[in-house]
Amino acid sequence: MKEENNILNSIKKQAPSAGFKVPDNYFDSFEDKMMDKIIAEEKSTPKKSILIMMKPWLSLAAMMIFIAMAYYSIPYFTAKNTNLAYNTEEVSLDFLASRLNETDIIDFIVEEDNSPIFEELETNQNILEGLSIEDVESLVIF
Amino acid sequence: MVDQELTDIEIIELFNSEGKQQDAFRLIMSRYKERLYWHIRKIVVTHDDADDALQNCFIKIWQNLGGFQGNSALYTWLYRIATNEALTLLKKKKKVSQYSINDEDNNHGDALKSDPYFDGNDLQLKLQQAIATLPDKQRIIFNLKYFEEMKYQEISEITDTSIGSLKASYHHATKKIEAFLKENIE
Repeated sequence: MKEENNILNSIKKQAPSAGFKVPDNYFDSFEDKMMDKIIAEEKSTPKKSILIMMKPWLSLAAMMIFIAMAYYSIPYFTAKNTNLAYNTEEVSLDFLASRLNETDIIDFIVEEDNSPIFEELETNQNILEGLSIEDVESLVIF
Repeated sequence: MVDQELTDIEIIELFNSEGKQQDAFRLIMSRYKERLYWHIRKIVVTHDDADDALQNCFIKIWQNLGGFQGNSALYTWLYRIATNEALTLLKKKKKVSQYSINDEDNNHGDALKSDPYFDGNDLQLKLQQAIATLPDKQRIIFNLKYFEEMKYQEISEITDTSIGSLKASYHHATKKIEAFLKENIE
């Protein structure tokens, strides 16, 4: 152990750079080279930083545009649906009209609209049939 | 040119004063470039990699020096950045070498042999090969203690590791290196 430690100590004493070396004048020009690089980096950085600074505002603008579009598109879609229903009804009526002739339509109107009248007339007729002329005269006098 | 005898704190104050940023930064580079270079070089091994990592290191220092709080000594903060940059470069190289056919790209010992900027003798080469067998963190701890002769407290601040762990880590590293040397010398 001691002998091996001596090996490590002796290696260290030989050269603090541990056998490494650098190109000639590497350190002499280092500051100038570095400052040029830093200035070049600084010049190219503002483009990035403007984008980074604008990022939250761009996100906010995009969100507001999306909300506005959603707000204005809701009535559009609702109206579109109503028109669709209306159109469907219109088409159905047109279809029925093309299938029915004039007689069918008259029969339908008479049947639908006059059925209570017919019933009333029928009832009145039954009442009249049960009365004699005297009964009618007495009703008219009083 | 600004006085070379300024303390680190005075240089930082100069850096934060208007119009003196570049002068102050030149002083920092002049004072620390060689120490940081050799620290990085022992981690990444080749000169080209050390040069890349050192440049990235000084760019980070330039970008962050204004926010340096002074909670630790400036040089431990600089060593910390240098260590991180060296490790980042190694990670990038490892990723690239995963797709490389040449396995030697990942071998520090072989990289040393082909590096024109290594002129160490056989013993120094063997030592570097032994160090190359250590895990990254253990290698950094060994380098800082063995070559830089730093105190454990300083290494602790640089590596963010407890002193107890550092002592154990350095002890293991030394034993591994000794075993390697014993096996490969003679």
